Amino acid sequence: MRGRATWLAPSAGALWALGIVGCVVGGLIDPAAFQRVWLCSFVFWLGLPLAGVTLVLVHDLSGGDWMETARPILDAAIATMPVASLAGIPSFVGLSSLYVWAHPDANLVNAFYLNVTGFFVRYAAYVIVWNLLAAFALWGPRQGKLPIAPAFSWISGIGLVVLAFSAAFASIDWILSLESTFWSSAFTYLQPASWFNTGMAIVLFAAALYGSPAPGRRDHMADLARILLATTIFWAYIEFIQLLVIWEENLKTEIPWYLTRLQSDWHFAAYVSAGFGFFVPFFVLLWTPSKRSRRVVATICGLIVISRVADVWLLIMPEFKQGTPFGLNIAALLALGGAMVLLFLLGLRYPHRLAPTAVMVWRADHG
Amino acid sequence: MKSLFGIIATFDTPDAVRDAARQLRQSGFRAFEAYTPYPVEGLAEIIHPGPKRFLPLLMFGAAIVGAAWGYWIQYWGEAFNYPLNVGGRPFNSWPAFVVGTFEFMLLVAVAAGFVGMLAASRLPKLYHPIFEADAFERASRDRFVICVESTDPRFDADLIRREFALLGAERIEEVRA
Repeated sequence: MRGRATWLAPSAGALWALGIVGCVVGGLIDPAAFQRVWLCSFVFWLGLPLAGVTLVLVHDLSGGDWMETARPILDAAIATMPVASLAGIPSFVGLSSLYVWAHPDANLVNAFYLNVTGFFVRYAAYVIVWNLLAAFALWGPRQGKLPIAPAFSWISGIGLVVLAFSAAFASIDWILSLESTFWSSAFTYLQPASWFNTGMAIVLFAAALYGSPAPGRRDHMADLARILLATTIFWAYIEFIQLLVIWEENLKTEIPWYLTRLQSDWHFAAYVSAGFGFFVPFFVLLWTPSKRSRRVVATICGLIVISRVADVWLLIMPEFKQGTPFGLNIAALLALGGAMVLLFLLGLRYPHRLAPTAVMVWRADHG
Repeated sequence: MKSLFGIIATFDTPDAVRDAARQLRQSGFRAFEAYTPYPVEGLAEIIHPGPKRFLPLLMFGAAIVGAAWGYWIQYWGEAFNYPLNVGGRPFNSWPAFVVGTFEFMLLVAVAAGFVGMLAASRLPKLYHPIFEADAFERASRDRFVICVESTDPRFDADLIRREFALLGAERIEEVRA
């Protein structure tokens, strides 16, 4: 990152300060509104470290030369995990203003799962598991672009399964449970896929800004763009399947979930999410030369990030009938985003601080 | 006496055939072709450099035609020719049509790709003069074969023989057909 995009850190810092001021003012005036927008911001930014951990663990099992370019950026993304995972606390302090099921008189049949104690136990479990996996992804015995030492690859395999399940349950707890009578099994794939695309788009954006590799070395950006193309297709596929199944079933318990969103003030976000999250990236990245152009890839990644913001807000905000000042949304996005981006840039600037050799717990000669 | 089709040479390894192809191209030869028992990475780009847009554009065009066609069939049937009220949904029930549209797009694109591939490689072809060469016999087993054809403007049998010998060819012979 050195020498390039020097304007990024100061502007991220300035926006961070602006966001914090906005959140403090907004939170004092309307605490419930602050909780709502902070939940959106928390869910959105969590994608960055989750995608980093996922891609490192997948690479442990699959291998691939592209890790040479991706490793330092993924390390920086993973290093944001403690902040990103704990950032939900401000939203979850007063749970009953967010979730209908958290009211004492809710009387739901699924109260054995949706209850306040269970919610916090599960949240603590996600934080612990994700940070342990992040530590493993960051400091496991790996050398350069190579996957993990074979003696440890079983941890990566089991870690991926654990990550998939925990991310699925987290998306039920935090997003799907806003509508405590709606259930969609596709959603448990949908939100983790969306998280992966969020993080992957930010990582690839950094890779595109990094500049070209030294002459004679392969440019791995096109390989990473291919991965992002595949996962945007996966996300769009699941998103469409959920719509199609609900369309075909024609059930009174399911259709309102879409109607609530499409008839809210946020309905335009559906088109941003589908357009910038799938249609534009799909048709642009389909053409090989555009996967090799840094400018095109950076633009597409920016569009995907915008689409993921729209997606998260579309999923969460229409559930609340109370109005929210528009500026507060921006403030929450910036307050957490400024901290995340600064941490990410710090990791990119000092990659050796994150490298396995800096930590004595894991040594490559174990494997 | 049959006319000369070209000069054929066999090589032992994929690296040798790749070097030979690169050297021939640098010497200015254009009408030559390699025959190998399995795909040799980078060889096709040396012999036929430059972008190949025919098949991708053909398949993309076919995909668009197929998608439009597939959607039209369903639209014409469900919304236009024989409108049927299914559970109060709109006649033009696009989510339900997407799957069929996608399938039809695949069918047309893949069929166009298959026919286009045959056309681009000028297949099916039952006879080729290279079959006359004894050295060609092992191209489908364990030898890598290059043939410089006499249609090349720089064709000179003696020069090519010398060049092949320099490149370490195992066997060099004339192809007459």
